[in-house]
Amino acid sequence: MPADYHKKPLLQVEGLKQYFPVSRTYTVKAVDDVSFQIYPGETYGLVGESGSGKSTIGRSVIRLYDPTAGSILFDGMNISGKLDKAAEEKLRVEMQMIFQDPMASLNPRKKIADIIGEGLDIHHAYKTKEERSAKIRSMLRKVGLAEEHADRYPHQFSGGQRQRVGIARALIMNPKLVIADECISALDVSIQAQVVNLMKDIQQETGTAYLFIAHDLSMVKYISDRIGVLHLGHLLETGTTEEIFSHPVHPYTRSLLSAIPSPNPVVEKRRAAVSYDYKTSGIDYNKGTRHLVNGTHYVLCTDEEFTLWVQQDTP
Amino acid sequence: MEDKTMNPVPCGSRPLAPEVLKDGRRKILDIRNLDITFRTTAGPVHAIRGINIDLYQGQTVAIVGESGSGKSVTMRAAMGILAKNAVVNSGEILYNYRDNKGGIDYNPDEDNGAEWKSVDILKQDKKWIRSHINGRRMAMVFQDPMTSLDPTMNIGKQIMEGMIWHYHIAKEDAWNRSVQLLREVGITNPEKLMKEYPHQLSGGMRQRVVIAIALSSNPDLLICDEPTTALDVNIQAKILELIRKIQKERGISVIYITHDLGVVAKVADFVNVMYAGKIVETGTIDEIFYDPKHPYTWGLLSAMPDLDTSDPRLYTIPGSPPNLLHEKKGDAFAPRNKYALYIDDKLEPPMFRVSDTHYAATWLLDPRAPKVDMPEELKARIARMKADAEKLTGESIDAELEAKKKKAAACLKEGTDSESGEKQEDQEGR
Amino acid sequence: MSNANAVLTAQAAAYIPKDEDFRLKNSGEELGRDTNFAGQAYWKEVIVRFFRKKSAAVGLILILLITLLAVVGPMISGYTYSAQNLSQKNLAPRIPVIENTGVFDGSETISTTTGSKKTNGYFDKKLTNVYYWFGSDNYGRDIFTRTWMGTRVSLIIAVAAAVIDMVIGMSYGLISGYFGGRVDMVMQRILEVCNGIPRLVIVTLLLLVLKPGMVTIIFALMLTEWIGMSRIARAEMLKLKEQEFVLASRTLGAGNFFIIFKEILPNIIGPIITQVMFSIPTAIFTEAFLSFVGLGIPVPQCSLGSLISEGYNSFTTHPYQIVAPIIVMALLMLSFNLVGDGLREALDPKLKEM
Repeated sequence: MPADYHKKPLLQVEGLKQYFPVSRTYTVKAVDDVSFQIYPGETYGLVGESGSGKSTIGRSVIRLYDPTAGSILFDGMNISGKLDKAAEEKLRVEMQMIFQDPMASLNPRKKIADIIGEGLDIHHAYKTKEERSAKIRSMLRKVGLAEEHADRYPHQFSGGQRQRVGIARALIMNPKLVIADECISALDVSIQAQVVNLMKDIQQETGTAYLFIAHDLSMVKYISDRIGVLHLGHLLETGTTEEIFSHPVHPYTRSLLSAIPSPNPVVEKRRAAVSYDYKTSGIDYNKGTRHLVNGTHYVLCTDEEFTLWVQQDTP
Repeated sequence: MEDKTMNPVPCGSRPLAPEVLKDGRRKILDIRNLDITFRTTAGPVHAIRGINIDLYQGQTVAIVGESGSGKSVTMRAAMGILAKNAVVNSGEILYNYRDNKGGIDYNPDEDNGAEWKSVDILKQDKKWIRSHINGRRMAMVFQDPMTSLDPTMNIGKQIMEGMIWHYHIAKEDAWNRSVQLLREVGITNPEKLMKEYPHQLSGGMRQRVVIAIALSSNPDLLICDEPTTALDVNIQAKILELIRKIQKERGISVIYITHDLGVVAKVADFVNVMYAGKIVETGTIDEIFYDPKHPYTWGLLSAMPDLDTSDPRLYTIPGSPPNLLHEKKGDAFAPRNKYALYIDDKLEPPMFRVSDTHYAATWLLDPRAPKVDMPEELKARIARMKADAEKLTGESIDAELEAKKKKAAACLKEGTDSESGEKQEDQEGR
Repeated sequence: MSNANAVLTAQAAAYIPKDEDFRLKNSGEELGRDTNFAGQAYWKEVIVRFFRKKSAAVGLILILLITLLAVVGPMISGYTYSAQNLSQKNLAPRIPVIENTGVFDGSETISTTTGSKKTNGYFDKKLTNVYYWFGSDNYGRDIFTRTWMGTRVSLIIAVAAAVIDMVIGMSYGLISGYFGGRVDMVMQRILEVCNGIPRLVIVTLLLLVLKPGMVTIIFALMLTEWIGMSRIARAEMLKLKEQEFVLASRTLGAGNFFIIFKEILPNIIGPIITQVMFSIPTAIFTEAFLSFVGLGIPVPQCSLGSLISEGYNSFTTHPYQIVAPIIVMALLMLSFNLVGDGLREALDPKLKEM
């Protein structure tokens, strides 16, 4: 089911700010004025280094944090500010999250069936015990685990299998949007590929949208329709995967792209990554405004920077 | 690249690994037939199942494998820091060294008078290893720079500590050397940094400091355990370039432990692919990346995201890594192998020789086995990789690889040969 | 090294592969199923680890034995704990059968100003068929019966302490830790105030309103005994509440009390049980101490503490009167500590294997 860009966006984040006061005089601006949309059925990849605020955005959107400022519209309903009962219920059912650490994200004292079925239990989404167990079993099959796994405990599984359980837990409520917070970065390469393929298959089947948060651009390329590049809490560049990979405009995006390793020893040994240092680059993110490159491709910069960078891009 | 001389027949574990290479470089680490079991409450875990690794002076060897493949355990054994519940069933880890009477400035290349010594690390007691090997001849760079630095000590103290402990040099001398080292690892204002604490630094800076500490006692061998996985992509490349530069300048040997083939491609001369406690394929970097023979290596290479295709799906290795608590008869990789043979369930495959430097443990190389080639997608990908390489170097890549391979093989052969005076990147074999 | 090609591994010699072995299995479809699994159930491992530690097993057996004796002990000697028989006071331990070997035959050595002499009260009073296994006290009561009655009291205190720990301490700590912020601040200050008042003062004040007895002691314990537990529970909660599985529950819309008691509590049950085990000896000791200074169980009831107190008065003349309650008390404290220690290691294996 391809994404539908003519429909209303499923998630609309406008001017999101998330500050954390550390002391009376010092505040960490984890996310500073970030806006983006996610359309039904698409995958939006959010890329950035550690400390760029990408996980914070995910957690603010699903309201594990209370955003400092900005509005979040989910499926037409405002979910920023104080949540009323209806908004809370909608948010907790229709938006779900897959977590980073397959060891820590499953309760070690609960059986797999109870972990996957937790959402059902909380929202009383079944009438009989048999219905619950049937739903859990079909979910296990869907993520490629055997049904007899239901009665086991998390520590009996490998990292990749646990991450499948995490996916099953998120998907059992048939959410419209799933936030995948670095959900593959703790896994081995071959297992990462399994999980990414599984997520794509599920999207094809159910039409759920993903907010895919990662620091690894190469994997993001495989799953995302559109990508946002985040640095120090600012969304520097956003556009379709094609636009970002073929015509990166912002120097930071370029440096990220240049650092993607390839399994080609002759090439890799001769290549030097483009370095990027915010402090010495002379770029001030706070002065930048959103500039449209073309299509859906935006970049955060000042007017002078924009002309300069676009020139560089078209030799 | 079809090699006419390729003659894959089962071979013994270590056919070609002379003590001294033709170009005069010595073997400094020699892991022979290492076999380790861990006693756990759930039962014995056979973590290392008879592996062999050789390392020569100035060489970079990568050990690649998924988590639980035993790559870190092997290196812990080499450092003499195995956990208490480990039982070494067999094998030896020989470390060759010369007594550095010359103190901290000792250079193994110049001091030809001193005699080479050989110790079996597994037979030495912990105290001896601590004072003679760890941090002095072998140094380790760990995955997470935050946990390998002491948060309560300033950077200067942490760097000087090792020098003073191992070589008893004066404090001012140690200070000057530390500043020098920090400059060497690419830190621009070392004097200021010496007084700072780990939490004041960024991840990349911390890893640079860790490398400086590792280098502080002038080691012969640097072991890097996933040195970049905790870092951001654009810093990863910088750190790898740094380690490579230092290695070239100092002529030390480096062992990389990683699961990331991108890292391997960037740094290694020689690659050992590990699976379930065994080395399943070993060869020069070019052989492993351009001409892999083991289905597991095929899988690993294919699973790496490829930026040049529009193929929407990633190749994956099905299933999950084996649980070493339940040992399987025959080939441990067989349950995940699309190309498994019936023999794989009955008998563990021996190492088959592909070339003098390239060996793989898969029955597919047996003459009786059906002819199975690597998957089409991977073949196409390798062709593309070679084309990219040719574009970059402007030379025929096959010819270059062939020449490299011949050189490597010649270096391993015994006897005198005058033409191999040139320093050579890739040689080793077993 | 030209012979390399010819060398076969030892294994290859063990099984000679046949030609039909070299066929592809073509098991493409089966590969998708993930059937790997590992490990044992958690509690099974805990039990194995617990019993592997001998001291913990010994401690557990001792607790069971002492509990059994506390239940049946007072019934088997034929005496009641309060029946006085002044004609049979201060008799030394005498046990049938063993008396023939010369020990526990009812004789004791009494030191006087003129020197020590050996006497046998039973013999002197012609009580041939009377046996006090642990001797009799100043009022002619059977110390054996009284010791086990006292042990009962101590065990009741132990259970009370455990319940107080679990109900008040654990909940207090969990709630304080989970909600954090202002709630935590207020709850911690209240705790500090409770902790600041000396226990003896509290009990003495309580005696103004309540009669000395079990209720008073339990009340005293309730005021302060749970503090250690609440600190442990709070610390564990702070460690776990930011864990991803807790966040996962929150994104699923779980309520606060569901998260505290269903998600987090099962994960910290190890440290909690351990803490209970360690707080039991403290509670028993507190009771003994209060009884010893006369603020505890009223006569003719007894506890190990009051027995020791009584025995202490005649310690110089009839030392056997203090020995039995002291040994039982010491064993009880020791075995609870051993079990606590064993549980701590069994529930948290990392502690040992680091």
